[in-house]
Parts: sequence; structure tokens; C-alpha cells
Amino acid sequence: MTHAERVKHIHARVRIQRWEFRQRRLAHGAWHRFRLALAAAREAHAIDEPTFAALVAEGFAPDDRGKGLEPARDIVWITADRAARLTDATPLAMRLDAAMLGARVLALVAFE
Amino acid sequence: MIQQLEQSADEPSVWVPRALCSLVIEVNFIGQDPAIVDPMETYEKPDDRLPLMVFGPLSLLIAGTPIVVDGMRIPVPRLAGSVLEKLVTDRTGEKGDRDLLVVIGLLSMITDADYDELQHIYDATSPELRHAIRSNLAILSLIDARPGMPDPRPQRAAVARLLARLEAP
Repeated sequence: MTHAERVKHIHARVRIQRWEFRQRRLAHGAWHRFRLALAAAREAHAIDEPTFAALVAEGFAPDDRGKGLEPARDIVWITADRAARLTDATPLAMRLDAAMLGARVLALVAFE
Repeated sequence: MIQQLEQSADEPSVWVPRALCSLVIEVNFIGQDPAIVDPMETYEKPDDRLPLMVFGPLSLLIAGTPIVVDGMRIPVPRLAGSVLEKLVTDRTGEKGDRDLLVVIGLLSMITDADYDELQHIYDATSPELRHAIRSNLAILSLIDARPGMPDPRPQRAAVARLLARLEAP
């Protein structure tokens, strides 16, 4: 690749970054917001909707950063103690793999 | 004067060892222009002998204390600027992930003073670059370990702390 081609390639990538920046509060920014939520989490657990509702009813905070995805993801932040007492929950590796992306409802534990 | 190296046929700013100089590694010459910092301002500096790519984000690098190896002083950049330069430079694919994992290695050495310096430089960048930095940190937190590269998993807490600090109003 010549230098001129590299410059052209870099500028094209920056234009995409600029578009992503303008999208940060719009549709495409949904992935950015979802990743930020996961990055703040020490643990993630796939849970079902009744468990999600119960956790919110217990006072744990829901997070709307999964709402922009299709299908939307429900996220609730819980404590490590509460995570240890979850039943019917599947612990997830903290990476964007098929298991994480396939989970519709997530309980996250923040770093201390 | 460049000795024991010859210009690569593939890339004019890369000089590779001549056939018999097995102890010499290739050298990639790149340009830094303090007048620019944005990747969009990256340009080609033509030259008959040594044409260069001049990368905007390289201006985030600040000279640190040189290290000495076998009596030779090797200039190295300070940690804070190095972390930010890696995070604003857009990368894609497997090579992109591996490049980003270099940040994990840097974060494992960073001190509170480096964090303060990093915050200071970050605050002076454009909103677009700050967004790119946060976005790449989030990606870094979620990528897999790669053979021969620093493992991101033990440093996820440090990445989260840095993200929280950069997102604070």
C-alpha cells in the first residue's frame, strides 16, 4: 500500500469515527452505550424476565443502555452478594461472544 | 546516514536489514508534527530519499526518560500519552485488537501521576477524540486474550476505573 493510499484509508476510517460520534445518542450509538455498561461490570449473569422484575422490585437499579439494541436488552445492576444468591442464572464471560449477545436480560455486578 | 539497512520495496518509509545483517531489525520511520493531533490531519510527507507518513495522534506522545540498553540511550514516550495515542488511533480486525492490547500492558505500569497526566491530555482533546478513546477502552475491556499479548482480563478493573474517571463531569 502506498503512503497516499494509507492516508486515504485513514481518512476514510476517521470519517466513520466521526459518523459514530454523531450517532452516539442515536441508533448506532446503542452498541457504544451497551459496551460501556459491560465495561463497567465485573460480572454478568443471564437471567429471565421474572428475575429481572424481582430484582428491580428489590430496589436494584435498572440501566437503559441495552434498550437501543434490537432486540432490546434489559439490564439491572446488582451487588456481588445478591449475584451469589441468584438461582437459574447463567454466569457469562465478560466478552462480546455469542452467549453475551444472546442474553436478553442481564444482571451486572459493578467493579468496587 | 543509514547503514546496514535498505529501503523496503513494499513500503518506502520502512527500512529492512540487508541480507547478511541478521542482528539488525527493520526500522519504520514515521513523522510527528506538533501542529496536528487529529487522525484526519494525517498526511504524507514526500521525499525522494525518505518519504514519511506523518500521523496526527503521534503529537500526543511526550518524551519520557530514555532507557539505556547496552550503553545505547533509547528514547521512549511517557505512559499517559502512549495510552491515549493507542486509543485514538483507529484500528480494525485481529491486528487492531492486538494493537489495542498494548494499552493493557501500559496500564499495568501506570501510576496515579500518569493518570493525572492522562486526564490532563484527554481534557485538551476534541470531543470526537474523547469519544474514540472511551469507545476503544470499552472495546478493550471486552476483547479476548491473544497469544503473546498482555491478558486484558486482570486489567478490566483498571480499564473500568479509567473509563469512570474520563466520563466524570
